[in-house]
Amino acid sequence: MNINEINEKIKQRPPFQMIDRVTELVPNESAVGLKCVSVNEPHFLGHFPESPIMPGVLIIESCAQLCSLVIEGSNEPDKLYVLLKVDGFKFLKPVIPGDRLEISVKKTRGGAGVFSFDAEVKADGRVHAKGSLMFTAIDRSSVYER
Amino acid sequence: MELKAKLKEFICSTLGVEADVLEYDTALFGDSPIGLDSVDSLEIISYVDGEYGVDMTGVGKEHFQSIDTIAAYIEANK
Repeated sequence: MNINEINEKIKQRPPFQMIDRVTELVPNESAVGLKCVSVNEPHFLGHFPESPIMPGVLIIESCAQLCSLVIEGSNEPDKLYVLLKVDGFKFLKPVIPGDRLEISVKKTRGGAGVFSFDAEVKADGRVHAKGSLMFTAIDRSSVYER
Repeated sequence: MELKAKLKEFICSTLGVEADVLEYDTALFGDSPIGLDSVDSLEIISYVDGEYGVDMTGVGKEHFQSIDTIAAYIEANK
């Protein structure tokens, strides 16, 4: 799945688009995707000026965007798939400009509209981060109720 | 494994509750010392659906009072 096909499936856009290509996809089960890290990304201006390191929360976001590509129907216009829980994430090695992240996500549970995934992030064959994520669908209109 | 024991194992291993403070009749939500929240309830609903094929979506909160009440709902609806 190339970037144009990804754009048909997810709503995120630059500078908040965190998956560049999908190399493997089993709908509702698992996927492998690539994220190429460039020094041109805006967060590197401040994180950190002398030592650009990809923020851990954006590594999690990369995993989350890949998960949303796995969930069939996650592009429904009236629904929004939201992150409910991030569990046990570890950042084993800093991600820096020039790294090509190979992200693998695998569904571990999917009952009652709640989807849980295990995620692993590698660069140069070495695990840089891993953890679990949980999502559910909510009505888009309910997000803005106060 | 017995239904209630499996529910307890799930709540302890996945939701991070200590086994020695959780009895089958211990209150799970609200001001209870266990203090589960709405995200935890979604995890329980997902687990029950996946393991027993019982959908607890939208079910009244009285059925989520304790492991006893969740187990009773599963038994009555599976």
